[in-house]
This record gives sequence, C-alpha cells and structure tokens, in this order.
Amino acid sequence: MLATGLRHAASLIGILFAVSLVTFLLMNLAPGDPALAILGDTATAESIAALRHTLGLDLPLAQRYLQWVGGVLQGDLGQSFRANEPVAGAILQRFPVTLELLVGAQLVALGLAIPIGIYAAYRTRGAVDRISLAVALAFVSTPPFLIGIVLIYVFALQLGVLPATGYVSLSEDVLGNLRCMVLPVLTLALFEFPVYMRLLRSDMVRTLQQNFISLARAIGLPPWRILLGHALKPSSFSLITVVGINMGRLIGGAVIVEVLFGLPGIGELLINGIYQREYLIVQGVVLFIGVFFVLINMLVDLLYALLDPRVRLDAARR
Amino acid sequence: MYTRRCMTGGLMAALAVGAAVAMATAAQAQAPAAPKRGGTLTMALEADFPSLDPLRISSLVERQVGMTIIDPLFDIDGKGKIVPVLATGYEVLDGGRTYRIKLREGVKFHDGTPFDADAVVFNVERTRDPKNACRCLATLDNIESVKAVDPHTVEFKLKAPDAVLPAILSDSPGLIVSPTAIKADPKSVAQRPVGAGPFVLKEWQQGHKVVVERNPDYWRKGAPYLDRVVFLPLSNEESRQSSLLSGSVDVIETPSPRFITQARANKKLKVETGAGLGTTFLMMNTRTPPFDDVRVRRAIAFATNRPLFIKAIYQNEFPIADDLIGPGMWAHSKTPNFPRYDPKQARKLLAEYGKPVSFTLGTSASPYNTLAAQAFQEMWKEVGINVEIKQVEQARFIRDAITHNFQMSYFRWAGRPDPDLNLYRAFHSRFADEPSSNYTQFSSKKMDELLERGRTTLDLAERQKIYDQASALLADELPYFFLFYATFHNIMSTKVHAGPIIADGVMRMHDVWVE
Repeated sequence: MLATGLRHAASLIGILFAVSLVTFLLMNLAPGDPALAILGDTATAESIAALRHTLGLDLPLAQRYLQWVGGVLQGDLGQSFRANEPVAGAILQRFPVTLELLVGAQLVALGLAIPIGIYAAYRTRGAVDRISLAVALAFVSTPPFLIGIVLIYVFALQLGVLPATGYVSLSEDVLGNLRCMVLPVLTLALFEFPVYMRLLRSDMVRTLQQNFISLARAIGLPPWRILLGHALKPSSFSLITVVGINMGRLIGGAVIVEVLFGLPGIGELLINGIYQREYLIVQGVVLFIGVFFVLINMLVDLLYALLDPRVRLDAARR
Repeated sequence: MYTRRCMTGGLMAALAVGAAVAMATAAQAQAPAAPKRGGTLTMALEADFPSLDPLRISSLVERQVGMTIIDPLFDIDGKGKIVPVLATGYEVLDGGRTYRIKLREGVKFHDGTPFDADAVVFNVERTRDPKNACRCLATLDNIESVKAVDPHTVEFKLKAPDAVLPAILSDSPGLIVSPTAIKADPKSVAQRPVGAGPFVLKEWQQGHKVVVERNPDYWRKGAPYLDRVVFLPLSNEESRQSSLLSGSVDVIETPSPRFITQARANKKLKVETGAGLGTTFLMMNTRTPPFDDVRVRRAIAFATNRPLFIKAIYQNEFPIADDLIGPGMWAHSKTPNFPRYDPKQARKLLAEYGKPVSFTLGTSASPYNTLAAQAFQEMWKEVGINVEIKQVEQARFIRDAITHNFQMSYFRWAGRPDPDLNLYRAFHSRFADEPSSNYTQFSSKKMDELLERGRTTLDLAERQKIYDQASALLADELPYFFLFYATFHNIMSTKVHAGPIIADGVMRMHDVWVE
C-alpha cells in the first residue's frame, strides 16, 4: 500500500511538471500579446515595449518559467495583469461553484443510471431496457447547451418555477443556491447519465452470466439480493473509471454550462483568461485542473482496491 | 453644403415643433408619472471585466459599471453635446492653448474626502504617466501641463490649440477617483474604486456580480432614485434574453437583432436605443493588392446592397451609415457622395482594373459575423469577385488589424464623443507606417490637413464643415466602406424608466427609477 502511494506521488510530480511546462509554452508561444490586449488599438511600439517591461514579459522565456514555478512551489500562483489580484484567490473563489455543479451532476447522473442500468440488465430486451436505450441515445447525442436551453425554456420561461440564470452562494442562502443549481446540474446529469447507464448495464449482463450468480440463484436468493449484493460490485469497475475521468474532465470542461447559466466557475475563469491573454490565470487554472485530475485518479485506484480483493492481493504480491 | 445645412435645419425645426405638439398632447392625456424612490435594478451585462481602474475602463461594460460609481468631469447629453458634471464650466484662453476648468464645490468622494482641484490634477497626472499604460494615453499627448489654480479651478496648458479636451474629459481620462484611496493602497483602485458617483461599490464577486448602493451624499439633489443596482455579467446572449423574459433581470444590453424585433412586439418589454457614436464597416488595406487600387475599393462599394444586407442579417435594427461620425454626435450629417448599390458600375470598375480580384475577408469569430461574411461573399460573386473568409478570435483579430496584417476586415468602431477621436488616429498619415489604429495605412495630404484643422478650430460650425469635408473625402477614397451605425440597444421591463437616452448606450443610473 505504501509502495503504491509513493509510486502515485512520484507520478503526480512528473505529470504536474509536464503540465506546467506545456501550459506555459502553449500560452507564451501562441499568437497574441497581453500588453497589446491591455493597450488595445491606441497601442504604439513604445507603449507596448514599456508595458511588456512592467509586466516582466521582456525577460527570457526560461527565466520567466523558473520564476513562475518557483512561486508555485511556495504556493504563489502570481497575480493577474489587469486587476493585480492573486490568481490563487480567484481560483479558490470559483472552485466551490464548479465542485458543487460537478458533484451534483454526478450524483444525479448515478442516481438515474444505477437503478435503470441494473433493471435493464436484469430484464434484458424488456420494455425498460429498450426505452432506456432510446432515451440514452437521445440525450447522449444532444449537446449539453441544447439540453440547457430546452430546460430553461420549460422550467424558467414556461413554468416559471426556477431561475433561468444566476448564482447564489451556499453561505448566502441555501435554498436559493439549490434553486439556481437545479437546471445546470440537470443539464450536465442528463448528458452524462446515458453513458453510465449503458456501461453498468453491459457489465452487469456479463456478470449475471457467471457461475457464482447461477449458484446464488440455485440457492434461492431473491433477485434484489443477487443484483445488489453480488452482481453490482464486480460490475462497477468501468463505471467508476469513467466517473473519475469525467470528474477530472468537467472541472474545466463544464464551461458551456457555466456560461449558459451564468455560474462563476473555474471553466468561465479559464476561458476569459484565454481571451484576455491573462497568462498567469490560464497557467494557474490548468495546473489546478491537473492536480485535481491526478488526485481523482488516485482516489479511483484506491476504490478499485476496496471493491476488488484481487487488486489488493496483486499489489501485495508485488 | 451651406444650403443643405439650412434645409436640414429647417426640417429639424419643423420636426421639433411637431414633436413638441405631440408631446404636449400626450402629456395632457396621461400625466407623466413622478419618479419613484427605492428599489433594486438588476442589469445583465454582455461580458465580465477585470478592473474598474479608470486607466483600464474602455469597453461598454466597463463604462456602464464604472460610470455608476465614478463621476466624470464632463459627459455627453442626449444630443451628443458635451455638458459639465463634476466640472461646472470652462474658459478657453490663449486661442485654445489654455483651458481653465471650474469645478463643482461641496462634492465628496465615497470615502468622505473632498473632490477638488488637487484631486483632478492627481488623476490627470496618473493617467498621463506612461508607466501606467492607459489605453487613453495617445489622446492626452497634446497636454503640456495641468495645475490647480485654486481649490476649485484647474488649468490645462496645451501644446497646440485644442478643441477636443472637454470631449476627452467626458471619456475615461475624465473619471475622477479619490487620490487618498489610491495613495493608501495603489492596487485597490482596480477592484474597489472610490469615486464620487451616484452609487457606492458594495460587493464585487469576480465573474458573478457587482452590487452598488445609493450614495446618500450624492451632489445631485434627490438623485439617485434607486437603492441598489446589481450588475450580472452574462456573456451568453441567450442567457441574457431568457433572464429578462423570466423576470430575473430588469435590463439587458447587447441583445441579438432577432430578439430586439421580438421585444418590440412584447408588451412587457421596451427597447431603448442609443443613437451611437461610431460605425460598422469593411476596411481595406490601402497598401496591399487588390485594395491598393481605389477602383477596387469603389467596386466593392458599388457591388454591396447595404439595405438588403442590413435587413437580411440584422432585421433592419441598424441604420445605414455613410461616415464614421455616428448619429449620436453633434457633428453628424449626411454624406451625399457616398456610393450607392450599382452592380453595373462595379463591373465597369473591375473591368478597368483588368485583373481578377480575389482576397481574404477577416472577421472575429461569432455566428452573426459568419452570416455577414457569407452574405458579402455571395453578393460579390455576382460581379465576379472571389472571397475567402477567415475567422479568428478577438484578441488575434485586433492584433492583425493593428499590425496591418489583413486585406479586408469586417470591423466596428463603437465611437467616441468627438469626430477628432474617431477620425484622427484612424486616417492621419503620421500613423500609417507603424503598427497603429490607422489600420488601413491610409495616407492623404488633404485628409491630414483637414484633421489638423479639425482639432485646432474652436468654432463648432467651422469644425462641422471641416468634418463634412473629411467624410466626403472618405466617401471617394473608401479606406473604410461604411455599412451601418453602431447603435446600442438596451431592452428592459416597461417598469423601468431609463431617463434620457445617451448615444453611447450607457445607462446613467442616477436618472433611472423603477415602478
């Protein structure tokens, strides 16, 4: 277990180093210049040079990278060019919004996917299986922004029961927070659940054909105990892997939903940073996403070990 | 020229009389409701913004929020005239080389410190300091010095006679913030600016909302009416529109043309249109083939059916433009020699030019720009011009324009409150050789001379004639092919009373009240 932990830590450092270097280079070598973006169309050659100097952009690339990484190692992600605000503060301010959206969406998606997936596997080619396949196909082939617009139209404009956009933080008003998170969470969940549901179903179908299930049936265990107590655990590996990957992907990739519903999340910060050529914001956010991604993956690995004794034994043997 | 002005003047007078009669009748039928105090106004903005430091305020969104908190020395009124705000008036001495500006007495910043001549000098010097990299720096290069004459008088010494200074001071260089607050914490002004405006900044959650509350000590007696204004940056057009329809916001800016048309038919909504100070146009690089030949630029103008274009793509929500001086500006007038749609003429000019014409049309990436570019492509195919469309994101698009790295570009200049601020940096040959906002590298002795005279002539009627000539010259030379005026639309609930509509599309919040 300790060895696994150390291996993970080593790979974490390696991955983050690579992420930081690639982001830094991508941002700094891409066309566009923060000085020009700030000065706009009244820029002159001299004023651009002066501002680049003030922002430290005239230093050699390697020196700037080392300065930045040095700051990061001390927990300082730098300050934005325009507002002079610490980048770390901006990320921490927005992280709860994205995290709530993500966790909410995953819970709703799993809440839909697990019961339907199990039932569809239990009664393969039954009505539930076929209808859920059709629904899954419909949602998985509809882009989230379209699902979002339809939800806004129905729940905010026609029924008027939920706000169309806006965000209220949990600390301000719990009920208000839940009200404004329902539609964005549902938008993401409806897009994510079909994959989960179909994955669980197909793994479950395979598990249900195995000998130990036949044995359980022969003993006369009721179906719900076979499904939930014996078949679900070994069938959930692919599901957990995909949920883990999605958590990492959506931390920066939920931007369309964030923009559509006016949520001040991480994705929105990243996109604005790119448009405004706020290098340090982009670098900071991408690095943060990298850390989050790696941590989620470590968590998934640990979950494997909890769910499957073979993984534990395998690790112990090594 | 002169006769035409008299005629337009007469027509305007007749219209004004007509309007006055109509208003009087309306007033008798329904007495205008007295402004009501209190309440909160929620406004959805078209974008988020990082800073409210006057040095960084330039976009529509930044001006909308900034001017709610920070009062300027001057402003423009509903007719585009420069009017004093924190100033009370000015004297012009030495033939335009000295401006002595009188300041309003008894005004206090939100931190309780007095607004006075020293505060103005501090702000102007800060803006003028090249180290602070203000976007506005170039517009201030005629200022030689600024000093306090007495606590309520500021004197500007200028390098050359200058007719534009009051207009410049109605823009971001005229926004005055508390020097005490900046000296205490120089970084604070970006996110916690302390002005003397009608509202005080209460809360700003980046990317989410800005909350401002009424300034109880505001110098305009009785104003503001609202207790609170909440600004929400909602960069998605659909999201702004659905928030307005569902009632969670009261006002939205920059709606899609299709939504403007829908809103006009909706009894619960009204559309307020700021006439605009600038123009949307196609600009052509006058030093790169094929547009280094004026015949090709003119052929483009004759081959473009602007009325059809504006109707098809923008639902007729923008007026056709023949110059760069928007209808909201005092100097706006007609440009009779601007080319009209005439495909025969276009084919003739292209035949004279003799070579096949094909080029790249650049736009910034947006669905409307794609539609617009495709419409041009189709129209010009009719006369045998071959166009390739190139779309890039905004920052890169602007950079290409400044570095003259384009053949033709679909561009918008939102406009500033004086013709000099629209034309000088766009067309003066002294900027043509370096990266600059003379994007098209236009150079003409006659234009240079008009532009120099325009900024140094103090008499408004004289200036009007000069800028009419400049517009006429542009209509012949066509570095820009003007399409439509950059009017601003704000759509709001009928419960909102917006006060006088100003050409730049910014709601002056001290005048706004809600039922």
